[in-house]
Amino acid sequence: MTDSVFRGSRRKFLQVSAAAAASAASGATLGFVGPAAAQGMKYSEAPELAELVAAGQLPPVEERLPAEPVVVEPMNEIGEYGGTIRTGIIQNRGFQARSSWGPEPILRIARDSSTIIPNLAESWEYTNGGKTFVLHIRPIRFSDGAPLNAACFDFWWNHVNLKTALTPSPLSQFVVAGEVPEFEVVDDYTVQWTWSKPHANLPGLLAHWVGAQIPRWLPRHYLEQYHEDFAAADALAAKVDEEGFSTWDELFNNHSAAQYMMPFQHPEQPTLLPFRLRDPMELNTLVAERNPWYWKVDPEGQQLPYIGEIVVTNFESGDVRDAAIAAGQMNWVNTDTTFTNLPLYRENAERGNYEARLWLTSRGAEHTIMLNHEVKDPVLKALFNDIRFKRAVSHAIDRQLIADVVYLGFGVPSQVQMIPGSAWRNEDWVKKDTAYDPDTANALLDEVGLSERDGNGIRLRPDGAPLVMNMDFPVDDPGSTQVGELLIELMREVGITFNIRPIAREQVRTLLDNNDMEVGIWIADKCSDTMFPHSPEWHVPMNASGGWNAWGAAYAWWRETDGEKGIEPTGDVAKVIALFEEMQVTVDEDRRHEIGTEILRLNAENLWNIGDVGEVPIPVILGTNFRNYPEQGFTSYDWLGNYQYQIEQTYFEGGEWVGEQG
Amino acid sequence: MGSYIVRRVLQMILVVFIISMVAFFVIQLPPGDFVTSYVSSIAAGDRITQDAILALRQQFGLDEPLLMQYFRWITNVLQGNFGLSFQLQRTVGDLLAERLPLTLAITIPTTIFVYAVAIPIGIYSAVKQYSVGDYLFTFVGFIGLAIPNFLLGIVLIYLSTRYFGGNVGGLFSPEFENAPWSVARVLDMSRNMALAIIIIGTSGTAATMRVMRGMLLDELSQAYVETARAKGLSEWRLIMKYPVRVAVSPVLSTVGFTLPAMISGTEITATVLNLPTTGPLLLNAVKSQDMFLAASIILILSVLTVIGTFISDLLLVWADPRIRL
Repeated sequence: MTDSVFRGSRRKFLQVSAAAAASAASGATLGFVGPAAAQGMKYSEAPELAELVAAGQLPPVEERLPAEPVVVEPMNEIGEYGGTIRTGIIQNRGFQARSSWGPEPILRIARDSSTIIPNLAESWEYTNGGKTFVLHIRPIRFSDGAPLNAACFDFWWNHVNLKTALTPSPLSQFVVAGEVPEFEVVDDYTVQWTWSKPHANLPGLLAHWVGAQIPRWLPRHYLEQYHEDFAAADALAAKVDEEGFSTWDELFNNHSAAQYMMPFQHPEQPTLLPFRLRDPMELNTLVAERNPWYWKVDPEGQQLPYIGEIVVTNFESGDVRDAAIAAGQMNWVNTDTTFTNLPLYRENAERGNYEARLWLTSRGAEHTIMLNHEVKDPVLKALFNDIRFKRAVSHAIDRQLIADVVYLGFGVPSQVQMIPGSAWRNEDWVKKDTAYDPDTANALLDEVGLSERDGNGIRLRPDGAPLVMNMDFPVDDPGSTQVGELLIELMREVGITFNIRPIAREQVRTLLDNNDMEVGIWIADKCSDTMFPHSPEWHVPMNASGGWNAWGAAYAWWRETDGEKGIEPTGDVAKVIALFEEMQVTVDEDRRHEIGTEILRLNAENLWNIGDVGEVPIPVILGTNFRNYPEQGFTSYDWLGNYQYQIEQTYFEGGEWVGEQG
Repeated sequence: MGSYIVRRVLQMILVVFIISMVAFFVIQLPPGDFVTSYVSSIAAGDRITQDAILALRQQFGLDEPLLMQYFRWITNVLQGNFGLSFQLQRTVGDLLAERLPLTLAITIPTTIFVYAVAIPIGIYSAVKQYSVGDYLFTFVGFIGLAIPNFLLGIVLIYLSTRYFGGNVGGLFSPEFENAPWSVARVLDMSRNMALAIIIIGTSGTAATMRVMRGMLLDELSQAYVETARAKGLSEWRLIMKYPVRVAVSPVLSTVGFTLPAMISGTEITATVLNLPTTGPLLLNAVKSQDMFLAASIILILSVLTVIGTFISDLLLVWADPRIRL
């Protein structure tokens, strides 16, 4: 496995992405065929469910499926029923396993990893000049047979989202410029929200985290018994007491909780996912089983999902999970594997009955190195705002060295731009100022007034002090440490003393919040079409309290607190923020594309982020006979793992994983 | 004796009360609180507004003065309600009920294992000083002391998965994970548990073995041993009846510490072996400042320590006739 081999496969990757984009209009590529195809179809189900039907414990499949089930085109071929997905999470962080059982957001991302298509809602539209967002809910059923309809959304919006005891402040994803929308139930299957400005990013958000979160508050028929607006006061008090809580909202939150985008504690909690909880996480395992009321079928009318069970094992450390992978105990681990352990994964693949495929993530570059443009030291501030200085730093970085030392030779020099396959990808901007060129770097540094050096060859600042830059980063990212250590050497070569300090994540937070950061480094993720329009964290200082943008934290605070905290942005920074505000209220696709392009162009020009290497793959562990999953794909938070590939249509050839023990 | 016990019980209550306070306050020492740690751990920076952060603090009662928070917590604890784990949105009582039985199922056999192995070996090594057996046990003992438990765990896991087809960590092999309880499942669990007991117990065994040997060697050269021997007592009865009873004192007086050490001192080993005990739970709770959970576990541990110390004092009285109340 050499660099050149991977380069070859990367080209293929780009072709695949391009092909996907070209045929984006065809439903088959997106993995979605409208319900019309289901007319007159004969339905069948998994043998285990057929047995339950025969025993009279379950209504027949025709009655369980909705009138118009969604027909899912399998990725490669029709599958067969059976088998168990075995996956592992670390320290109960369930998001690592979330796309093994869905999720099923209100809208979803298609298999091309960027188009937004219907899901729980069968369609959506903007009316009223874009100010009203209308959602047409699909008439489907929860895992206990109860229907999904507008009343469910009414419950969530009026009795959860606007109920301060449960949701201290309404979901920020629905708030536009501080305005909470007006919600209306139009008919049994239609709801709408109205703002005074359009909320153009809402479809993107409904296909992502928030869209996958909302369904936990939708089973109104189940949750009313835990809600003070509906339950009788004494009955509710008795329940609170019986389950050991002190207030009804604790009880309600416990019964509506979804840790992995799925109910994880109460098996009776209704869900719309392909799998439902059977055994909650106890000791270290959780088991989910096929949802008999699932609302999707394959083109032959077989009810999905094909796979029968998911077993999730919790590990207290990533290393132990890696050992379990190598020992052949896992057949589905793919959101947070360690790239540098690739040799371990590959070496044991055959014995462990799995494949370690290489996919891409949403990282424009592995890291963004960010110089705080409002750093408190005035001399550093002047330098950090000088494009010549930033270009000098960028040219002083030997990116091939980083690729070789940290990423086993994988990775290509990249600035923090968009990932391959993105509609906004611009190769020139990706490559700009990435050449390793210490001469240019030195010349540029001399030019900005740093030509004097001390006895150790360290450049002297205009105020006579030696030039020192300090970088703080969270200790839990080993990649940052390794890159940071190389930066020390590389910066010394051009006469800059560069210090790195790994600290606790909470301390990084405090530094950012108080504008005490000099230089920051973070994983440059979210560079995909699904995240960039609503969360361009690196390209626009837009997220102060939850974000990690270190070059413009002060500007983000200014924006978030309306000038109460932080520093007012000017010039190009003010421009990108204005562009981002425009993006939020612009529904027109062409204009959205222009806005995005302009934001990225300003980024290339200003070099607010200095990227290291991009296209570093992530190992994806999949059972050898696990089918209908891509050879090369994308996995990241941007797709909540890799839910765009639809776990419900995957299967094990032969009906069981070949590595199944016992 | 009666008044002694009453006095000790009163002291114990006071000590536990002070510990509960210290535990609660120490958890708050790192900068920030659970909300800070929650916000910084949110998956890849979902947007969360300042209002939401303030409201979260309010919801968890983190905006109140610390003393107030402590008071509310301790009054609830006295009524048997340990509060809510912020992180997991479950009651602390529920979480402990899930993990404590297993923790005890590992620590109690481990404790028995430590004493059952260490005391006889210690006696043997002392009586047969400088024999081949003594040298062998001394060698093994030092290795056991020198190797950290978790490292031993890693090595044994490697060997067992690589060559014996065992599984990596956990209490059950994959085929028994979701199986209903059966004889085979219990056997499978005991097999995995045996490994854990050996790993966790090794350093304790080694240490106890050395202490026992050293103490007994001191006693064997005492005049009263000669006297007893001169009186014609059989060698075996003599050793067990007099010097061993004295030599075992330091071992007994530390019984109190073994209980909490087994439960809390095994975080790293439990992490490596992937054992769902209270150790990793405490570690995570402290890391994320999930304070009711962390404080409750620490409180339970300190209660165990205090009780353990009390038991060891009573044991000493029973074993060593020189101690009078």
